[in-house]
Amino acid sequence: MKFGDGPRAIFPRAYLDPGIGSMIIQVLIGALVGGLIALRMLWDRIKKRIKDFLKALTGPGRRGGGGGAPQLVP
Amino acid sequence: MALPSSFRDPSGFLFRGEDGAIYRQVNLIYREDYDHLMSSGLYDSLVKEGLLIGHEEVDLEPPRPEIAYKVIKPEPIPFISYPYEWCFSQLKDAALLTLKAQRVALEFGMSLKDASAYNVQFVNGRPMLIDTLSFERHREGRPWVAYRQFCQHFLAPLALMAHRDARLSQLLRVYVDGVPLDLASSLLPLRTRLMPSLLFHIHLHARAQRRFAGRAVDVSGLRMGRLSLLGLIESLESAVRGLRWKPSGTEWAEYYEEAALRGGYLQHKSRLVAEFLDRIGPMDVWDLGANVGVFSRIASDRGIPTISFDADPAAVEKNYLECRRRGETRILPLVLDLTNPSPAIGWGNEERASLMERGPADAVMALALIHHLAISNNLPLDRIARFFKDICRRWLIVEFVPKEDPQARRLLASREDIFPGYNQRAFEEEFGRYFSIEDSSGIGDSQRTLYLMRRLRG
Repeated sequence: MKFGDGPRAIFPRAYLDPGIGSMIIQVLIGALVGGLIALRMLWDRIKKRIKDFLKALTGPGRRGGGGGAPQLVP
Repeated sequence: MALPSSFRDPSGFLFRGEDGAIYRQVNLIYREDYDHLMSSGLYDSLVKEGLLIGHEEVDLEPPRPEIAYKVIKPEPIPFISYPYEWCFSQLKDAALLTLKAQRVALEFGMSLKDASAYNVQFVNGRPMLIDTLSFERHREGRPWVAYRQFCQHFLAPLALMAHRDARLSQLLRVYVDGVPLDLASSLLPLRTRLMPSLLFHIHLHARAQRRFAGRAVDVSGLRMGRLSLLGLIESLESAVRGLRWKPSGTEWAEYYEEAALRGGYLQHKSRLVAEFLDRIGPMDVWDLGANVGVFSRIASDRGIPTISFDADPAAVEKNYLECRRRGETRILPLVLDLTNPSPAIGWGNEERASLMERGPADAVMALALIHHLAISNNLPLDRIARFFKDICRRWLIVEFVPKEDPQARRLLASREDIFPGYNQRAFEEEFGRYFSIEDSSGIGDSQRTLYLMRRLRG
């Protein structure tokens, strides 16, 4: 997407003036909060994998002796 | 002919049909967005969740057929109220509704193209979006076009009410497109700069607006991914939720406790009001000077649509919180200073209607109010009577409080008594010009009298 013409290029049919300052600040906030959300999602995934790993280590398959090595990737 | 409030958005406009009902013309320019709204499942989802007012497509000649795509008939809204008449929690609920609608819209590939507080109305006790044409198809990478408007219409006034003074909601009456962020930033206390959400959404936002105002800036490459957009909405939601205001110190807070001690006064008055209401069976009631709405509820509990007005934002806040707690659908508490009621504002003084234009009410209740108008505000009785004549279609339930009453004496404690004409005989005479007295009764052991009056024709 090209934004070279300013807000008009981004919002060709907008009837409100989004305001250049308002656009810039929201992109900044979005990047910050979006980044934090991405980190949170990543952390949730890491936690889940660790949990799965530990479960596989202590799970019933292990106790039966035939579970094999735990898998890191589901 | 479009309604005076409906002209900014080229997507369509509201108009009044020959049957008196409100219709909306959807213009051809909005065709694809409208079709997407209806076919994507977004409309059904929003209406089902009670976020958007429902409508039906009707076969009616559009007022401007050359640009018309469809005519729709939205569900009627019994009473239009404005953000400067809402208490803190009403504005907060309206803000959260707007953000929730934006979140749902994004799930269906659409986005709110405006975030005006005037697009929200309270229907059956709950805030709802009333502008069906506010949704447009979202293109990935776009920022939120209505972000600035959301901050001006919701976040800035809420922050000012929470962190400075609840009465600052009245700024919305002055600034018809929301509180300018530079003004909000300068009025907010310094400590709000230490709060990340207000620092970014108001203080730095205001600074960015100032810095880039009127400048041709190349914003090539400025892009906002979906995660960022959802992050922005989440951040605004958390900012709004984090704003709190606890009503306290209202001059009426202890009124009922004190009144309850006065020889069965409240119980007798409640019984009389109930009797009068049962006798007249009004279509709707405006309770003026309603405090926290104790007497309004006598009407609303009977299923009568009731507007519960008071000048004190703390009383209205308590009233609204009670509505929410009880899940009430028939009562709408609003902030209104009767000595300076909401005027007509906006372009040509026509965009937002005055209080008088939104009346008259079928029945008006003015309980323990007249002495405040006459003594605290120096309003002559003839003017008070004329005002009630104008806002009352048929019935008036009005209480007269004589000068000898302890509450009236309190009003006169710090001032000269320049009201020789304030007495019960003069009251009956002045109101008798416009109303017939159908019934009257003393209340409990007090010296007060409750009247049921019927408006004279003409």
